[in-house]
This record gives sequence, structure tokens and C-alpha cells, in this order.
Amino acid sequence: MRRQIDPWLAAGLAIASVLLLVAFYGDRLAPFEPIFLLVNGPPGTERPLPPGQPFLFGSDGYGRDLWTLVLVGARTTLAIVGLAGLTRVALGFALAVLGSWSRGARLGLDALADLVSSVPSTVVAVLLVLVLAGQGAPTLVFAGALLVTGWAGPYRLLRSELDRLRSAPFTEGARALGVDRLALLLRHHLPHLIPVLALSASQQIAAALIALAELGVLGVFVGPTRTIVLGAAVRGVTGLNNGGLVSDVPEWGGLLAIGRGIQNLYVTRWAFLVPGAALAGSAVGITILGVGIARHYRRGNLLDDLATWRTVFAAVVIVVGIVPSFVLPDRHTAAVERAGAAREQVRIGADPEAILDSAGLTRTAVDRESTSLRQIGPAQLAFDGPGGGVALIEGRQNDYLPVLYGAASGGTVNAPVVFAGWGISPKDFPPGIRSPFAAADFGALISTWEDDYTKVDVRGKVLVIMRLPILRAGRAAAQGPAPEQLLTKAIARGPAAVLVVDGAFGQAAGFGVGSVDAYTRLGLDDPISSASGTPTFVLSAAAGDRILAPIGFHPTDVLRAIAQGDTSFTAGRSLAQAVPVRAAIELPVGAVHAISHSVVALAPARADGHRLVLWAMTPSSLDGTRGAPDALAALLRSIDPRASPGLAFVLFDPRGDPLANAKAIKTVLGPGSVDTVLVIDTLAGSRLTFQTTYGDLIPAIDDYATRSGATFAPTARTLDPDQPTTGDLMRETGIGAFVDWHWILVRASGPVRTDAGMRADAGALLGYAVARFQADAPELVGR
Amino acid sequence: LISVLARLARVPLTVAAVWAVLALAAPLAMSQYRPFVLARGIGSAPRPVSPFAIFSAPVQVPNVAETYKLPLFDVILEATLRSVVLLAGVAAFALTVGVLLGIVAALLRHRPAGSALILGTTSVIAAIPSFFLAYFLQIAIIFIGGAAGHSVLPVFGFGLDGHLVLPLLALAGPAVAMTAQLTAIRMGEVYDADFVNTANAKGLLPSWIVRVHILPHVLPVSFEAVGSGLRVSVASLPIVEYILQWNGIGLVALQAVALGDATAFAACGVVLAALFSFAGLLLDLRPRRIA
Repeated sequence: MRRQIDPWLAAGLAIASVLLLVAFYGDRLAPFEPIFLLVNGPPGTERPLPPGQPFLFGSDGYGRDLWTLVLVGARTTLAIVGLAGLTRVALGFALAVLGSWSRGARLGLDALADLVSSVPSTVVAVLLVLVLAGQGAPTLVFAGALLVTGWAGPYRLLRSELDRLRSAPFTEGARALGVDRLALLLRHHLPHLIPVLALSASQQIAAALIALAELGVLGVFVGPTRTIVLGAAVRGVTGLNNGGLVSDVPEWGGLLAIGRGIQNLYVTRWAFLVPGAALAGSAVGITILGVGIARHYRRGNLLDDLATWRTVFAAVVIVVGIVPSFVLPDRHTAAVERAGAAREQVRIGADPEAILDSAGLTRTAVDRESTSLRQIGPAQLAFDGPGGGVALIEGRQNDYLPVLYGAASGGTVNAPVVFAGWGISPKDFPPGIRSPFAAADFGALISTWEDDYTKVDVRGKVLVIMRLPILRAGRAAAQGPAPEQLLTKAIARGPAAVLVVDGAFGQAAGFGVGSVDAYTRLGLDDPISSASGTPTFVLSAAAGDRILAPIGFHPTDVLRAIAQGDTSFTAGRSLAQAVPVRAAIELPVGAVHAISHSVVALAPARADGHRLVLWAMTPSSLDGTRGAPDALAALLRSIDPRASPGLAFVLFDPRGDPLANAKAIKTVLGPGSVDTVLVIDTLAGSRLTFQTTYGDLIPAIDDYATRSGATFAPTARTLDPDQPTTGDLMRETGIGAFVDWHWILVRASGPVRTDAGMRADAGALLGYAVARFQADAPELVGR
Repeated sequence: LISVLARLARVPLTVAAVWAVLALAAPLAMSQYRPFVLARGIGSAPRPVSPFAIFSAPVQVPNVAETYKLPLFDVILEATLRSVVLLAGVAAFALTVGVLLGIVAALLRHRPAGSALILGTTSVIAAIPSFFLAYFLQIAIIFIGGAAGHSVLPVFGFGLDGHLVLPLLALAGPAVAMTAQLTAIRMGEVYDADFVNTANAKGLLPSWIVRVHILPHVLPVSFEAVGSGLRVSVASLPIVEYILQWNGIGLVALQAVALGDATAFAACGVVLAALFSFAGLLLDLRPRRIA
């Protein structure tokens, strides 16, 4: 007689079917994609966006649709917890069998079970996930982390059940008939263990879900993370959460991590409750399934049922249901095909202008001619003294940078070195009118100081000075002299060259997109006017240590002491003295005449006014190579540009003044909304990298690179617009001219490949992006 | 006696073994990742001044003692006392409320709606993870406070006053539920036993029957349930303390992991193992009958 299915089992199977459906088809069912960040929501709303429009269940703090994230994250989440839970039960079962067969093993395993279960599993899981996080296999990492403590529960339960079965009369009968213990286990005990195993498995999977949620609450992500900063993309005040870590693996625990925070407790509760409900609902569903199996097979044998047509039918239904998720075409097949078509059209040394002509697009040439004084070769800074030679390395990340501004210039110098302490003469800084609102007046504080320039003769010598960051006198404190004051006063005293040691070497002078350091700012505000004069450099404190070592003076220690409140170096006594060292300095400066030839071609405008600009650097700002035009040409060959409304093609020549050149192109592009600018720079390397100050573009560009089949390094962080290096990058590439447009800089890095691989990858990436733009992808046109 | 002594000896042995393992393994494990400062509590995740501070110059991460500006021994001692206060409250709460609920459910055992309501509610509470319970309680208190127009209870923080309520309820939920369920089942069995029927036939007062004839058979099971519930509470201690910012040993253990402070972590592990083993001891040494 056919047994009626237990209602708990029926309910459990129904819930499990829903979970399976979501796990395998969640990404197709999702109304949006997790790469779409709606940073600026409808007027009057703040991130996280509330449930309703445009997102049914609201958004997370980054403006991503929570329902989409739950659906897309289901596969990873359920795979992680399923593997973790089942592995715990499997290990517990194996050890329980071992413990039931051997008394010695049992004693040891009992003690070990006591040991591992005596420290809370959350703490152990956090520690192990942190330890194993770099392994790059989140599912295995998490399963491994939970396995360390999780096997003890199933072990105890199954061992006591095996003990009970061992003393059952049917076991004694089987033994008397000579059945060996493996056969006894598989044929006689296993059918009795099915209910306990099912219950235990469901409990362990639910426990793994809870552990995943706990890790999420603690902000410990499973798998790698990336830093998304949305500050640049924000218009007005829309949301408190403008930056933070986002899990690379879409899983529900990570959503809880983002959903915590004070505003999520008091106001925006959906950010926590939506993923929380998904976790809790799944845990309840899996538990019901386990209870159902346990109830249904309390007096029946699962193994008997496995051999029935009903089971075969159920298995076929499951397979037929799951297989299409692997076989059905990708969501964006057209875009992938377009990427493949562009990849096939790559030729080295292509002429994109000719292709634009043949495509019937009107080219607009933007030719600029400029002459400017600038550094024309690497600077040299070498010292020779009693302690041996010292050679410094040029660069923001190294020892020194030339300072090219109105009062300074280039030249070649070979002269003795003299150290003039802080480079302060009280008569250069007369006391000002004391403001009741100012903390202190610098001139007043140094009015009694010894004059650094009377103690040493700096004329014709290489002058080394330190920039005083802050001056404290009792409770009063004043900022040290500005770089321009310090350098101009020093140069006016006739040294052959000036070297200023600054503790803030390489740091930004202010805030704002494309900030520069104080010395670069000098050159921008007051450009160099003569090719020869007083070579001037700014040095790091570490470089200062090496130059001044012969006199036993260490700027690093002095600056650290001042930062800690030590006033012994700023007591008014001059630190100036001669240094028994000669310096050989070379700073080549000359007039550079540059002709730049850029080209702009516009496809017909879209009805909605959206535009995507494809910007190819020719030559590259980094190494002078010309890979980007080949990638753009490949794209142009694979599409009909006239039938691609909204696209703008730019061949950008950065020579001369890149910023001015880019501004001229911006004028040609005209007013109107530009959604995204894809800037392709050097393609000499072995993998693409992406840089942008717009954090909302990072998930999208990484996804595009993955789907277009490009070799790339995942973008781990958003570029900091306040860093001088970002300012340099934006000047060199011309991006500084359109900082208000969403931009992504694509460059290749790593060992240089000789084939067209990177050009093909960049071409495919452009092809994919264009196809998505034409399909109105919200991440490109929905902002 | 030997059996009792062996069970008693398991506590220090387990604690010593945990200490040995952590002392050896924790420094090795903690050298494998970059320490960080754990954002405290669901309600107080601090926002950096600049979001870019996350990847700017590496921040010097202090150890646990520097974080609390106290010697490590004092930090562990204070945290242990706070957690013990919490767990003692959980035990007392579970024993009183859980047993009372169990008795009521047993008395209503012939009224399916009544007993199902109690057992169903306790089943749901037992199934909800403690940290969800903590979060839901926080939201409920905020709602109630909003409706009342004034703060009803503090929703996070430490204090042996109103602050105690939420962590106590969040941690005691599973213990109360387990105690109520097991007490109800056992009491139902005992209620239907022959000697209770005899006592009823003799005309003894119902309160006398419960107090003298039934409870001695039921309370050992209730104690066992409290022991099991306490083990669950100790396991949930870190996450609940973290969410509700109760500076107990669980929170200090999580901070020690984040800060990479192996010494503090080993100390917390030892304390947690001792608490866990003590709860287990309560289970092992329960009397068969309480007169």
C-alpha cells in the first residue's frame, strides 16, 4: 500500500523546490542586476531607497536593488551553507562510525568533541574565515571554517544512535549470522539512521545559514571584497552610506553586513530585514524539510523508496528543471556576441580615422599647437661626502620631485651643500596684526629666533632647508611657512640650488577632485618662465636623512618629535651649519613645442539624449604606445557607427597640454548629458586594469570585462580624487577636463605581450559596453 | 562518587586543553591576516571621516588592553563578571519562566489550542537565532518608545539596570523555550502516572500534588533543559553582546580576533570554555529526583 506523504515532508519539499528554483534561476528572475547602483534616487529620497519605486523591496546603502541581490545571491549562499552543513554531517557520521567501532578512537573523539564545542563557533568561524580569506575559494573557505567546530554535534547525535542500534536484537542476530561490521552498518543500521541524518543535515544547514548571517553582522565577509566609494557620483545629499567594503561574492551574509548601522535600526530597516528574512525563511524551510524526512521515514526505509518509479520521476523533474539554467543562453547574449565580433576585428596598426571616414561619420579634427617650458629629461641628484656617495631617485613614491615654478628653474650645479635649518629669518616674516580669532601669529612667535641665513653663507651653494609643519609655543600654535614663501625667500638669497625637505612630501595640499601637492600647485599657479636658474627640489624626510647624515641630523626624527609635541627643535636656536658634502645636480628644462592632432566623430544623437564616449589615447599618456586606436578601430569595424546613436568616438592626442587639448574636445562634444566616458590608454601589458573615482561604475566594468572574456585584474578600490597621484593621472590623460562625467580609465599592466591580446580584450570590452548602452543598460543610462 | 569526580575533573581538563590549543594555534592563525578594529554593535557602526580612510595609510591597531586602557587581566575579569551576570540572569529567568510556562502547558494538555499556543510559540523562539531575536527586540523597543513618546528601555549598552533587559531576553529565549517544552512533556507524563491518580483519588489538594508529588520528578528535567539552554546561550554570547554592546567576554573575544591579540583571545577562550563546561556540568550532575 502506498504510504501517504507526511505533510511536513510535503511542505519541506515545496520550500526546497522554491529554494532550488531561486538558486538556479535567481539571476534570470532578478528585475535588475547587482551591478546597477542607483546612487541618486528619485528627488526627495535617500539611499537606502525605500521599498516601492523603482525597487520593490528597496535598495541597500549603495543603491542596489535588494530583491535582485537576494535572488542573485541565493545560488552562492545556498551552495556555501549546503556544502558546509552536509560536510559537517558527513564528517560527524564518519567519526561516529569510527568511534562506535573502536573504543580507543571513541575516547579520543569524545574528548576532541568536548574541546571543539567549548569555544563558541562564531568566534572560531570569524577567526578561520579571516585566516583563510586569502585562499580565493569562498565556498570552501566557509565550509572549512565551520567544519572545525561543527562536526561535534552530528558526531555526538549519531554516535549515541549507533550505540543504541548496536545493542538492538536485530544487530545481535545479524552478527550471529556472520555479517561483517561494514555490511551491518550499510544494510542494517543506515536505514535506521536516515531520519537522524536528515534531521541533523537540515539542522546543520540551518546552523550554517545562521553562522553566515552572524559573520555578515560582524562585517566579516566570505571571500574577497572591494572598496566602493560613491562620493564622486553623488549629486546633493542622497544617503549616508557613501563608501565601504562590498563583498565580491554576492551572498546574503554580506548584505546583512551592509544593512547594519544606526540608520538601519531606526529608519531604513528593510536594508537588514530583507536579507534577514531570506536567511530566516530558508533556515525554517530547510528545517521543515529535515523534520519531514525524519517523520516520513520514522518507520520506513528511504533506500526502498529510492528504487521506486516515483523517485525516478522526481529525479527526472529536478534534472529537467535544473539543466536549462546551464543550457539557456546568457542574459546578454547579444552583447557577448558583439564583444566577440569586435575581438575578431583587431588589427595591429589600424587607422581608425580612415574607418570613421568609410563609415560615413563626420570627423572633426582638434589640432592644437603649443610651446611650453618643461622638464625634458630625468633629473639627477647625487651627493658625495665623507660617508660615501648618495644617489637619490626621482618620483612621488621615491625621494624627490623637481619644483618648477616662476622663481625656480632648471640647470646643472656642482657645489658644496649647506644646511640652513628651517630656512627662517625673522625679518622675512614680520609679526602681523593679531587677530582675536587666530590661534597665534607665526611672525610673532619667531620674532626672537636666530636668523638661519646669518649663520651660514648660502650663496653659490646647494641650500638644504626643512619646512616647519607647525610651530607650538606654550598653548599657542601656528602653521609653518607656506612652500611658496619658504622657497621664494630662499632662492632670493642666491643659492645655486634649493632642496627643501618636507614631511608632507607627496601628500595632497587640499581636497577636491584631482588635488595636487603644494609644490605642483605652485607650478600650476605660477608657471616656469626661464629654462635656467635655480634648480629647486622637494625631498622626502628619508632622503633628507641620507643627505644630512654626515652632520648627524635626521629630519625624520625631528619631524616625528615635533608631531609628538616636542618643542626643543623650535626653541629659536638656529640649526644651520655647513655640510661636508658636494652635490651634483642636473635638472634639464627646455622649451617643448608640441602639435597635437585629436579627432572627434559623433554618431547620430539618441532621442533621450544619452551619450557614451569612447576615448582612445593616441599615443598613450604612459608609454607612448598606440594600442588604444587599434581597439577602437576593431569596434568600429564590428558595428555600423551611423546606426549606433548616442556614441561619440574620440582619438585623443595628449601631447603638449593634455588638459587644454581635452577641454577643446569637450567643446566639440558640446553641451548635453554624457553618461560615461571609456578612456582607453596604454594596452602594453598582460591584463586590463580599471581606474575611476566613480565607485558606482566599478561593479559594472568588472562584470563587462568578465562577460566580454577579457583578461583583467578585478578592481579592488575606487580611486581617491583627493590624492595627488589621481590629480597627476587626470592631468596626463586629459580626464581632468571632464571630471563631472562618469569616467573609467582602462589600462593594461603586467608583463608586456607581443601579440594583439590586450587590443583584442579592450576591443571586446568596448563592443560589450556599446551593446549594453544600445540596450539601455541601467548601469549606463539609468543614473 | 568516582563518576561524579570524573565529571568534575572534565571542567579543568577541558579548560586546560582549550588554553593549550589556543596558546599554540592563535598566534599562528592571527599572523595570517591584517588586524582591524571591529565596528561595535549593530547600532553604532562608526563612519570614517573620509570613506577613503579605509585604504589610506595603515592604521596602527591597538591590542585589547590598549583599547580598554586597562591591564588585560582587569579587562578579562570585568568582562567575565558582566557575562556571568548575564548568564546567571538567563539561568534564573529560564528556570522560573520556563518551568511556569511548562506547567501551564502541561495543565492545558487536554486543551489543544492552549498547549499548542504555548508549545508553538516556544518552538518558534527556539528556532530563531539569538541575534535576530536581539535585533527584533531592539526594533520592538524603538517602536514602543516611538509610540509612547519617550525611551522605554535602552536598546544597547552596558549597565546593571534597564540595559540588562534586552541582552537577557535575547539570550534567554532559547533557554526558556527548551525548559518550557521539556518541562511540559515531562510534567504531562508524570501527571498521567498512577501515583498521581492515586493522590487525586485520595482527595489531596492539587497544589500539594504538584508541589510534593510532581515537581520532584519534573525539576531534574527542567534543570537539564536549563543546562542545555545555557550552552546555547554561551554559544550565542559573542554575537548578542556585540549587537547589544554589552561589554562581556564574548564581545572581548571578537575584538581580540579582530585586533589579532592572541593573548586576549586565549584568555577569552579559556573563560568561555569554562562557562560552557560549567553548563555541561549542570547537565551531567543533575539529580535524578529533587525532593
